[in-house]
Amino acid sequence: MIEYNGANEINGQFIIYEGVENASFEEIVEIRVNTGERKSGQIVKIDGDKVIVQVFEGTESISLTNNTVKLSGHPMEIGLSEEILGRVFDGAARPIDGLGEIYAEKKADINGKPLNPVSRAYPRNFIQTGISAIDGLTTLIRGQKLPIFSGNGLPHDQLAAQIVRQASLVGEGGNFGIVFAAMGVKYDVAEFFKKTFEESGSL
Amino acid sequence: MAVGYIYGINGSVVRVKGSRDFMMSETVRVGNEKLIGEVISTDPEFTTVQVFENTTGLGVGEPVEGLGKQLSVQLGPGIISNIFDGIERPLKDIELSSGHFISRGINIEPLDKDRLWPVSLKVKVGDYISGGAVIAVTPETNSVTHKIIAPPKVEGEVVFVEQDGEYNINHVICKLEFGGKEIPLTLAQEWPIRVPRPIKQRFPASIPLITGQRILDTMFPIAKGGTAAVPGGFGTGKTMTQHQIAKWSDADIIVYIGCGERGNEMTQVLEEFSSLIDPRSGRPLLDRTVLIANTSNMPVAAREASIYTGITLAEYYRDMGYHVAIMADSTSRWAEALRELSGRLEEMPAEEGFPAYLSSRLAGFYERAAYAVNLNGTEGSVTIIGAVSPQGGDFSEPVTQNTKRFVKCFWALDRALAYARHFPAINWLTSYSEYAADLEGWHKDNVSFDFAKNRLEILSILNEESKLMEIVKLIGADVLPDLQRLVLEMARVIRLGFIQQNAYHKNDTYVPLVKQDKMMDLILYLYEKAKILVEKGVTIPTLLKSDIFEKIISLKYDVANDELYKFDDYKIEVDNFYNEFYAEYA
Repeated sequence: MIEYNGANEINGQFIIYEGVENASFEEIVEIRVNTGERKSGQIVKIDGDKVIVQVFEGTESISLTNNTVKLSGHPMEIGLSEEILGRVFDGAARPIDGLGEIYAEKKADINGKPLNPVSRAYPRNFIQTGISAIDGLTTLIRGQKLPIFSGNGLPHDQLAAQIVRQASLVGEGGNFGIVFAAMGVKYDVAEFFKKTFEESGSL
Repeated sequence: MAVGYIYGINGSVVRVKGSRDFMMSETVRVGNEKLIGEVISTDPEFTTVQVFENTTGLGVGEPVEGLGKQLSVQLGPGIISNIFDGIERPLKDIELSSGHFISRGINIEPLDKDRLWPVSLKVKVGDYISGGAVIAVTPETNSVTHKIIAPPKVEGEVVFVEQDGEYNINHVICKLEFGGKEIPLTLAQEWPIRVPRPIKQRFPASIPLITGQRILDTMFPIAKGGTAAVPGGFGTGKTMTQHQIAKWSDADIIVYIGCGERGNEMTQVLEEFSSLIDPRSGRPLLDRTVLIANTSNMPVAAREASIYTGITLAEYYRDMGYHVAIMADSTSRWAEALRELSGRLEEMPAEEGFPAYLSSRLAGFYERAAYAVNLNGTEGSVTIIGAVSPQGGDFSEPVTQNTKRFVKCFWALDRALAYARHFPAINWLTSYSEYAADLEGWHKDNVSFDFAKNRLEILSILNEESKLMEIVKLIGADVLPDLQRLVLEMARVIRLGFIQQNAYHKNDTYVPLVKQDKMMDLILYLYEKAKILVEKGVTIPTLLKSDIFEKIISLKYDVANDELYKFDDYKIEVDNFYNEFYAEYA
């Protein structure tokens, strides 16, 4: 693996490196700042030997000269195993619950692949949420999506948490799992979710 | 063939260096995984390619190879009942080769090259044929006979004809000689998707595409070879309207393009169409349907191409003398694909970020709809019905506005109607059809003499209702004179009994034109009689004691499509109602 020294331009969350060879699109890179900090980023554009990297952790403390960048050779992947059940991760799938690393049985590209429309079965079953307004009127169909439109000051957090606590399959068994993603929420909201899920045993 | 290497990558747009030989619109294979792409611009230094597959992991320096031909579709037997992606790759075969998820760089022929088709030839040695001539026929499905036609630009004297028998699509069934050169013809041919297939002559619209939907056929009819737009915010029933037309319209072939919509909707079409029976042929609807799926999570460049793939397939069947209807659901997603690519190309954005050429691209698509005399003298048509999904239901956005310029039929779906559970939620005040006048003659000859007159009367009652509602909102209905209250009552009968149509009721999901006309007739007859009674001084509350209004509203369920004789009974009932009230109150 070649490491490249020094950036060419830094602007907001983007860093431009020149002279990079063999970069591939949407590849993950590791940036080492000489303060000892490590950051990761993703290549979002390639123009000849010039690549534009979007840094996930922000570009604070990075200068044009104080860092090196290393290409990983693969797009963003996360490690998966049954252990991820009951855990809490950050946006790059790193555990943030202090319970240690995940031992990955396999790695999966987060970009996924499109599902062939021919392979789909038309959704006919539903997920019971125990909330009569949802189950009765706007049923959450298995294999469909149900957005919750909301605004400031409305209790969408409580509703989402309630759905997670109560959701279950009805009728025939089958495995059922819930992935809950909180994006751009405030600290106390995130804590509220964690606490509710821990207390209810959903986590 | 041109060979270059990847220099820059930006999403689905790849810049290529190292060759000046790439042609515009040439199909290329990009990178080590051989992803499919198309050349969209070229200059001495760079060639720009749009890639129809996900470009994640593509590396600088990987080879790009030109295939020396424009982005084309393969045309031949095996298209009908199939489901393709945006660049005519068969999704069923992809499932067999790569499982439930679509991998990249798959190289599968669009049509099954091993399947044998029972071919009977229609030409003999010595014939002189030119483009469009029918060389042979084969039963493609139980409802569609596939005519093998000579490619448009070919002509010559037939020097060899294969015997009738079972052949695969690549078998040479006929050879022509022209200018000392021999031209072999097989069951299949190719055609570039961005070039309209030639026709001999275009006709103005004069025959309706009958859909069995009252609000469409009667109020806002579309002609064969015409264009229509179905705009509507989400939840208003665009997809349902498209499905109803795909199911019941009297086109010979349906091309259904699922363009950037949910995958589950394509599954629904696949499932429903294989089980539903076409009322005309008695065979499953899938026997006359081609599906093209580029669902919302499939690559965006292929979405841009899917519309052209669909219309090229449609034109091919038109050339055989069939009437083809295309449903594109939804052209907004297609325009968004254009916008995304245009952004990647760093082009100057115009309105709402859409490229400046949005309107000319839309025109290029809708103008391919035509009622035509084909090269071989048969008549065929391509009718385009495009759904538009304006964000927030706002019809002033660029895609709706530009689409409006090129379509003559505008079926505006209305959220208020949908929320009031009035389906199809097509608003009769904002919708229009410029074909209504063109089709008047046909309606006169084939349905009834009064069809156009009835239609206008129904529309004028509805228009008057909307005017009166302004007053009613302010001061209530009680203060209106009785004649105007009668208009409100009749408008209610029309809305509930005629315009509203239940897609799930067996008598109501499809209604033939004759029944539509008789329903209009009866409603207007009732209006005429009731008007006399009101003029004679019978008050509205008195009139409403009669159940005749409700009876006529539920007539759509009570009279089956083959029980048209019952209309006479209804007419007698209206007469009885009239006589009874006349005797008692007038």
